[in-house]
Amino acid sequence: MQLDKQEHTPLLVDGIEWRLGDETQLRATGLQLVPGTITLLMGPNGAGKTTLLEKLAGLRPSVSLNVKYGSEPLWRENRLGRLRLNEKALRQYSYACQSPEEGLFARSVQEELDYSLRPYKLSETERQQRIESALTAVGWDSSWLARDPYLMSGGERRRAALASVFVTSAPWLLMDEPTAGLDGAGHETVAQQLLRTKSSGSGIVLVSHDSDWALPLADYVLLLSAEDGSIRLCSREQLLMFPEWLEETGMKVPDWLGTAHLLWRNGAAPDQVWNPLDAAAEQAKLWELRQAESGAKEETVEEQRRAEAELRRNVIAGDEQRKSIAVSERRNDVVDAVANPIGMESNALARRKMQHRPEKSHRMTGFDPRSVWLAYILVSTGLFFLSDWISVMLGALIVFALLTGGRISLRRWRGLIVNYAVFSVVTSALFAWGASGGSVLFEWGAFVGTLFTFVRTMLVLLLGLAIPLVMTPLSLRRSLEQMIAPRGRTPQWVQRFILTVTLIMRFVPVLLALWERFVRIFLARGKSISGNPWALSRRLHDVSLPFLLALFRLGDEVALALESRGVGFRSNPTRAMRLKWRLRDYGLAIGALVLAVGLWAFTHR
Amino acid sequence: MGKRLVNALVLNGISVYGNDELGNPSLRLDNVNMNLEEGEWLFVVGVNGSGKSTLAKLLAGLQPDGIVGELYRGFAGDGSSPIVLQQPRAQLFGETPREEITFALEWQGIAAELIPERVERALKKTGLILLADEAWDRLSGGQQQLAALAASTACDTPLIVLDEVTSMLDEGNRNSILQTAQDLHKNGTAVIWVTQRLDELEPESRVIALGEGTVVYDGNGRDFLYGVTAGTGAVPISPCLRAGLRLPYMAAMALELRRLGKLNDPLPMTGSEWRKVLGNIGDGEAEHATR
Repeated sequence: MQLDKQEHTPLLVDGIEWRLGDETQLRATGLQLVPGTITLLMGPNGAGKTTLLEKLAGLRPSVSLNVKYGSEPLWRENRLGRLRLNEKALRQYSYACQSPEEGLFARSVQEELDYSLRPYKLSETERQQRIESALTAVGWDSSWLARDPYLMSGGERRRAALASVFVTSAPWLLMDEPTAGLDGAGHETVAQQLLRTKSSGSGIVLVSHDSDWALPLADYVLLLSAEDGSIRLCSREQLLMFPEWLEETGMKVPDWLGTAHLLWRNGAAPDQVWNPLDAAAEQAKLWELRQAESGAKEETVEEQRRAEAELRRNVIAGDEQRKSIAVSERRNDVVDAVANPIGMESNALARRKMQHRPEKSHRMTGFDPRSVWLAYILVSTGLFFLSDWISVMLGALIVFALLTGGRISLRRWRGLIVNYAVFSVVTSALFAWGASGGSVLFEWGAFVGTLFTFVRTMLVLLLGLAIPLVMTPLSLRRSLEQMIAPRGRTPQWVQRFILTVTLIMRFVPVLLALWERFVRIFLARGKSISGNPWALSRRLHDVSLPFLLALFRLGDEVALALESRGVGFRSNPTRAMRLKWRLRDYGLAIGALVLAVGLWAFTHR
Repeated sequence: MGKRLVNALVLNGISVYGNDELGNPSLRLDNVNMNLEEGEWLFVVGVNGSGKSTLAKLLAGLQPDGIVGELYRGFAGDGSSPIVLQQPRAQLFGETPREEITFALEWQGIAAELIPERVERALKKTGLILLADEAWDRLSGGQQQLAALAASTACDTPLIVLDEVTSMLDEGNRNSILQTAQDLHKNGTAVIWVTQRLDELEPESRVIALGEGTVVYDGNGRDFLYGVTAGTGAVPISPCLRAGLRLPYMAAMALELRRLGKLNDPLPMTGSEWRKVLGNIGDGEAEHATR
């Protein structure tokens, strides 16, 4: 079985600001989660709970965060100095994303479980054991192995997905909202399995909205602040004593926790408040006590407060003791294994803070979309006149200057641009090889000639890619409709066509995000970073099926939302605003014209 | 009575037959009978796959294939009513709240010169006015949901359906959605609030619980959690548990206190009711903690 598991495999995180319990000073290094415990990650919307969990799993690159599973760093530099994921570290965890059933792709439960086990080298008996215990964990027997997940109900699919998460017995289990949408029995099943996993020595990091379900299971709590992204690590008991820490992250204290807090303040033992039945008994006891005392109500509030302060101190002292053990162990780690000098970490922190600042937006908002279009067409025409490498260089400079001047970042299209560049070089090389008649002599002239056309087109493409970034699809729709029919009424089919095109543009980023989601799921399960063509085609195959299904669901929802907005029922929607050309639009168009003529003149110099 | 019934939205013996992914027949809704009065607030609860979403779409006037039974739209009128879904990403077509609401109003056929003012009003109503021209990625999930809600209710509507709009939201965001929906309700809009989170239920509001496509409970929120004490004095079973849902902490505690003979019906449900019950144990700070 997993040998690592017998070893001590703590989860170590550097490069995030955090504090322990009631400390006021933030630290930058040394956050450690201990195996054999359940840690609940809490924070308001937008604090980045899911993002943090994904970073812990290496599913999102992170410049600043330095994650280690035991002695295995999550990211390592390869020979070229680029950060690559460490497959050994990936095998240290099992990851369940939100709605994990959406990532199922195999035609039987057996295949799904095998897929999750593939990265681990296990003997046949161990495999059988693992599979059996995973099935038991979700309340199934081996008769389910042959079942097809796509023929199951939603709840059964969730079980299949959870079984393929539980099957690995990795030292860490990272789970994002595992119980969302489950019934009461489902909550209970998951809770039991988490406790079993914990007692087997694995560590669990859990994100859950159901705080009254999750907190009673947890040993520790990570409170993630929405304000500055800092973290507070405390025990569940400390949170019971200081529920206001939740408010500091930007959350509200749930009613149930407020009540549990009150019970504790009135003398209930901290471990008697997590189960509502125990809590009810404590409450009943308290009322009886009050009734008996109601005659002698002289016990002063002051005295009660003092007792409570004493209690807080005691529990914290105990807790600190526990923590100091963890910290001292950690110190030993630091001596032999910390790779990061302090200076680098503070740099990383500074960088993280920079990322927090909202990006500056581009400068094109104030222009009429039509003038942007016109300017684009003019400059592109100018670029197409370019006929030698020197003028193409000048063209490239101009494109670069326009993009930086307009503060437009083409980062979103990075993949597309890189692919295009590779494609151009490869095609040019092939063409040159063909032109040389297959001889060993490389036709340099043919190569450069073909590449030239590609480079020129690329400049036009780069400018074009900026267009969807500087104008919203709906304003594009408005400008197209108005260009086609300046006086109103557009034919219905034109209108439909334009609406379809603009909606497709609107949903491109959504689709990209969806695709990336499934790529992440497969990285988390397949644990392979191999980039060879076979692995890539395999990934394409495994990702596309769930992606397509998700796409259909999305399509359904979009259609539904459009229908409920009344789109398509009225033949001619009104136009809330008509676009108007202003002085600056003339300026933009004239500037573009001058640029185009200049490019033409330079080429014919 | 007769007149009101004429106006109600009525489902009479409605069943919806669907197909699962491989085309095998399945029953999504099974002989559902219910009616909804004008201006009513209705909670619909149930686990995943219980038929909540099918019912929500049906009530919003988006008729699925394979429907059997009688359906009168009554006060909700012909055509579809606005529906807001769980995932904001699928229902936002603009890039900013202002663009979104404008887009919605244009398709509702509002005269062009009235639109800017209506957009402004909708933005103010939902508190999005300061974020009107921010792109979606600068807005939280809750603010995106608010924008979707603002866009679907920018026109007056007799009925709105909210299908698990808060399931991905924290309490702060949830409260602002709830507040907006309550404002609509006060102005006479009937609200159908589909949810999995039982702490959203109100004691006096109507709750319908679905299980495997049938209505397993139709009554008020308090009775849904705690059951109705029968005349025989037997301890009632919580309909919530019968529907297979997980009882929230506070409700479980209340039931246990009733079993111990410490609390009597009506059991406390809202924050303020609990404060009243627990009030005799704490001091001023107690109020703060249970707030």
